[in-house]
Amino acid sequence: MAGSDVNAWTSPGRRAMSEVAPSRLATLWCADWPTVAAGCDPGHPAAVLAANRVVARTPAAAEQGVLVGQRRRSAQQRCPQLELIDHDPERDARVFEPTLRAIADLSPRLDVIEPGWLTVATRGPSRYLGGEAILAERIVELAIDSMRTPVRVGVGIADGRFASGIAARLAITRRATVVVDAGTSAAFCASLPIGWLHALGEVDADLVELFTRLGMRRLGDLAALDPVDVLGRFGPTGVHAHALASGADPRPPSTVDPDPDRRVEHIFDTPVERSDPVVFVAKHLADEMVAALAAIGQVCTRLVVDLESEHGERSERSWYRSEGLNSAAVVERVRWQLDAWISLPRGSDQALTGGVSALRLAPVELRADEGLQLGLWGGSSEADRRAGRAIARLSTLTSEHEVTVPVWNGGRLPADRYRWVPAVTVDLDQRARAVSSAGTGSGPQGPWPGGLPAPSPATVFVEPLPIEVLDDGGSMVVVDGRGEMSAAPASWWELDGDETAGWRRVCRRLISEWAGPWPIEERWWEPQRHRRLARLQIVADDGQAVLVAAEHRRWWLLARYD
Amino acid sequence: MAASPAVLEQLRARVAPVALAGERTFPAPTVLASVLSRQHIVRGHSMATAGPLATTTAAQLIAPAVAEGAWVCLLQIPTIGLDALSECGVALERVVAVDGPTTRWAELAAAAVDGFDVVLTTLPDGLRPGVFRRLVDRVRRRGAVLVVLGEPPAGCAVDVVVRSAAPQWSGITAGAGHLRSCSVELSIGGRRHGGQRRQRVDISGPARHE
Repeated sequence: MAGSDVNAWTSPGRRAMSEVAPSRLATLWCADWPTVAAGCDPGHPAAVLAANRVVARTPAAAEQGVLVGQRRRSAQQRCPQLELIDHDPERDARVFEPTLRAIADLSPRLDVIEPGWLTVATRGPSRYLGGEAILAERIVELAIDSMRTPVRVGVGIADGRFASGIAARLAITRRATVVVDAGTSAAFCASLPIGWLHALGEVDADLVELFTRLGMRRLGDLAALDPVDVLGRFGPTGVHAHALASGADPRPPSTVDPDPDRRVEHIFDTPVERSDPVVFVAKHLADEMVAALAAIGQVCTRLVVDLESEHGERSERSWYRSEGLNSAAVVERVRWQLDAWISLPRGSDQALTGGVSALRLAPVELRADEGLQLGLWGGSSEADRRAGRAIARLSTLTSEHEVTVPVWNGGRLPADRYRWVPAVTVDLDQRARAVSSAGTGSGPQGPWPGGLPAPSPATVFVEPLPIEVLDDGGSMVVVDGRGEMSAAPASWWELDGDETAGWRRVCRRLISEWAGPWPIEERWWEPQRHRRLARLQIVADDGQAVLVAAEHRRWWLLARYD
Repeated sequence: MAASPAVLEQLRARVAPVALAGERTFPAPTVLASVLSRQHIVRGHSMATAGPLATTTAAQLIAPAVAEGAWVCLLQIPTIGLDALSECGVALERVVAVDGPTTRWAELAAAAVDGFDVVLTTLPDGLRPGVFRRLVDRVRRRGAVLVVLGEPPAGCAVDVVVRSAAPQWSGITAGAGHLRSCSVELSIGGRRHGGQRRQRVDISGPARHE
């Protein structure tokens, strides 16, 4: 731990007292932005999922009880006709770009926190327009005009990012802009539930749950405590939460501009027309910048990304992240900005007409790095970090969808048991939890009765291969509805061809041993996904063991024990 | 808490620190210990597994390395059975699969070798031996372990080849039982292995690592 936390340990009380008054900020927040970006109709139940969890849903889905953070399965349980959409942060950023541009015309001091969420310093524009209430209305107007689809937009003005973030979210439920007078943020926060701390991503859910269990249900309850006691019991994170609840901005924007030497830039010798090389360069620059800042114990919370094209067009954007921008987060933001810039309509102001010729990253706001708490089991090793870098590199070489990690899914057939999700969307430090059930799920006592006992097949065909299983007399073996086989299997043919052209027999294998059939009937309650099949383990005369299945009077090769 | 010694052993293997750069080996799987001439797998070696149980052999081969904290890249083998990997002792939280066009195999393999300790792959058809030799060089420099499924074609020499032959499955007879275990005849070849050894081992099923 470094920097401000040393102070926090010695005199937290004085630190809170001597804090500068947080600046007035207006926050624009678009409810469930990912669903809007995906083009969902608000009246149609749909949800955007990342790593099998709901990240956003339409109002219609919310009415049916679909919650953010819910697993896919339980969301579908609540709302069977739910349309599922994959999360695509780049799409979110791209669709948000027109709104950003519209509001940037009003105030250049604009920070994007994530697509659908930005803050504007109110001081200049509210004087110009004649009041904060008018400014808030103006932002709503600009935002709604710039979007093609109807969006629920909330604008809130308050002291500091936390209070104005809450105000913007409340503005959506109240269907009017919320302006909290200067100096009254603490009173405004006091009556609100403590869960807001987690909703705005300031502290994790575990700490909020702990506060609730200790009887602190409102932000005011927490603010009423002595900061020294909070520090003693909850450490620096608790002090952070306490400061937010008291209406202070514990991480005030630094008044001193960071050293211009911290800025990094890359001028391309020949302008590049594709986004990959720019992202690669961004990766290098980000690593360099983050490492240089880490060396002095600092982390960047606000970053200006400036892109310039060979024809002189520029795209400059300021990005904010309260927990600090690591190099992966920087690269992600460069990619969002670049993508949004490329997809600007031709003819609009500053639209990209040539290759990108320069990329600059300027950290504008720094704070002391509070370090990262490593896990109990040793945290990440060198191999883990190297693998993380390799995943990032391979993702840029191919595409993010082709570099995947397995996630336990469960099922009776070998091909159903795992899903592959893009590795970049998964927090690799949390991996152990995501697949740990795999270790216990494969045995006969596992949670999937009806699965086959170990050993499992080493080769599982993504698409089952068509085969024909024959008895002694050369006629097809049939499994009836009661799971009885017409005769003992004696040989099988591998088939080639397709449904329309007909099947050709390719290669005949003799069966020496077999076991089964083991019938399964899955999802009989769902006509479309209902499956009834019978599995059979077969050993060929050369010792090759396979898993085959009969379904609808057809035989399929599911997997091979090789 | 009734944790069996085997479970404790497994846990210990999982939380054990990663091998330092100086220790340039991974432990050898006990299943294959009687066959391998060295009692460890040398980092920087490229290996191949062939025969009717090539995939299981490969899984057994890499499992102790993964238990030590190494990451595995499954390069362009979408058909691999993860349950089988898990049963052999491969920790699935350190498994990453990479697909992509086979025409870019060499490029992807080079990037994978740079970042992962173990790369499991099949050679694409029509791979030029020169390309493969450069990859093998890279594996050696990086200290990774490359495992190729299937017999490498002429010109694509690897350091160690583990060949399986004559599998015998037990536990299954004329409609009854289910596959329980498989014994197979393993032999070792390749340019880093002197004499040919041949031994029948029980290969499938949960691995027992020391």
